[in-house]
Amino acid sequence: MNGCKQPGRRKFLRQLGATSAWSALAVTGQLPLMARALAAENYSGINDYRSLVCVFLSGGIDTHSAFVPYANYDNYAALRQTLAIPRSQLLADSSGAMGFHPALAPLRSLYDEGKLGIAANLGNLFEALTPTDLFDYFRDNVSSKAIPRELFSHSHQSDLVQLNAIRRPGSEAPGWGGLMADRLVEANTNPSFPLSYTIAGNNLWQTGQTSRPFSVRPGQGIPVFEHFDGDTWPRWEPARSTAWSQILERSYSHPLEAQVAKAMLGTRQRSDLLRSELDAAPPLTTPFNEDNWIENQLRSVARLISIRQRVGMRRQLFFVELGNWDTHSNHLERHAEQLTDLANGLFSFQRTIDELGLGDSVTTFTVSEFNRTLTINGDGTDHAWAGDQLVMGGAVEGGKVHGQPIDYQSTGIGEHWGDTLFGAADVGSGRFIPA
Amino acid sequence: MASTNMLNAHVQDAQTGGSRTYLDLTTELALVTQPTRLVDRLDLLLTNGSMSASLRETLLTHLADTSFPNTSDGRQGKLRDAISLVINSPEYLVQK
Repeated sequence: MNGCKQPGRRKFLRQLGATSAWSALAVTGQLPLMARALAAENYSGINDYRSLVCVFLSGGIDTHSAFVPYANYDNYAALRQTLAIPRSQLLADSSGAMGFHPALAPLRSLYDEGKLGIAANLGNLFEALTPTDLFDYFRDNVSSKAIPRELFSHSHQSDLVQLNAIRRPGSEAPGWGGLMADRLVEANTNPSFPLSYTIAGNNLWQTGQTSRPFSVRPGQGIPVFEHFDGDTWPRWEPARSTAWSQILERSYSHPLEAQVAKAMLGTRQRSDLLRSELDAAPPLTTPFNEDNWIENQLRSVARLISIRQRVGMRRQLFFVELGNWDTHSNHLERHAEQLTDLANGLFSFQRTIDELGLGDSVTTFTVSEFNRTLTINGDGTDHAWAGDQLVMGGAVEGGKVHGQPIDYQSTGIGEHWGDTLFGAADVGSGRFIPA
Repeated sequence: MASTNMLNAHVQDAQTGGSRTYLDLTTELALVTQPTRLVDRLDLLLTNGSMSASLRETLLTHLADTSFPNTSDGRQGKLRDAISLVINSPEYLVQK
């Protein structure tokens, strides 16, 4: 037993526990799997393939009207008023307790196949809190409890759900995906190759202490050094490209110069290898709609996964993002459009992964900075806290809701600062502390 | 990679009157036919007179490359390439 690795691993897992997204993984058995993988004495012994795909729903998805109480519909209808989805349109699950939004029909299929589970009542939290803990903190500005700062703020809660700690100004606290990547990179037969890929730009989740994601843009393929890639126009570009290679391949005595040259050459080499492997890969045949932004991003993920063996990957992390969930107005129509894109994208991706024969090896999960208020402002909803998320893949215990759904009633049980409280965990207007 | 591409886009593609920030290269353009003096000038402006002999040699070799036509475009290309190569060299990128 390696005495050094164990305390580090315990600390690591404890740090991971600080963010809620892990609850979503824990309930489906992925956290124990990851814990076992990370507990290995020697990660290079891993010879199967597994990857995690993070689907970030930025802006705050309204999960109250994505996964609607079906048996207990009346409380929902009374509070959601004109924005309630009519019960007759909901797609009830087999238990009859919950109904999917009608735009989520493709996800209901995956749910019925046992490939999709719902993790209920998740949100950013460091330890169990009561509304009184929070109200006292609001009043006194101090608390003996660890209170997530700047609740209901997009930027702060987006950071927090991706990090393993509160981000301090100017600091780059590692994201929990990045911490995994730092360790799991040894599992890949080509450790100099990036383990993490982002199809949606830089993000904190994949930023580790040593690892950084490789950025790929959907529809544009693998990025290149645009004026140094040996293009045939203008006529002198090949010579320019050769000259730059000579400059980089020279040996540098200055350590920082040597590092710059090494980093540039490494990026260029990785980009060239990825591009040539993707060009050579057999085309994927599962239909997909390239005009659906999230579907297009997930297709890029599937293509990268399809060349995993060619580039020596056994553990990988992917990040995609679907924004525009901040429905303060025109909520009914916009939310239905958003859910349609999400459902079609996830469905097509799961079918593509199944086509690759990796149904059990690729696990996809959604994350959002927060849910939206249960009460409405007339035409929309505001920033809230606990909500539901999706976990998808063959390794997921699908077809069920994990955890306790958010509990509320249609009449107030109290109030705080003029906001009505609709449940024991409500901190105002239907903003619930995560369970 | 993104910052390299952005810098190169300005150096290689920006034109007077275009939508991108462009460089006033009047003085340098006049030196293209005297490559040693052009490289001296770039050394003064970009590497504070500390350009390595090997970078200098690479630049002079590239400026003599036969793929450049002896036209206004070719001369512009030489100058823009020389700037691109200096600003993407390790010795320029590391602040000293």
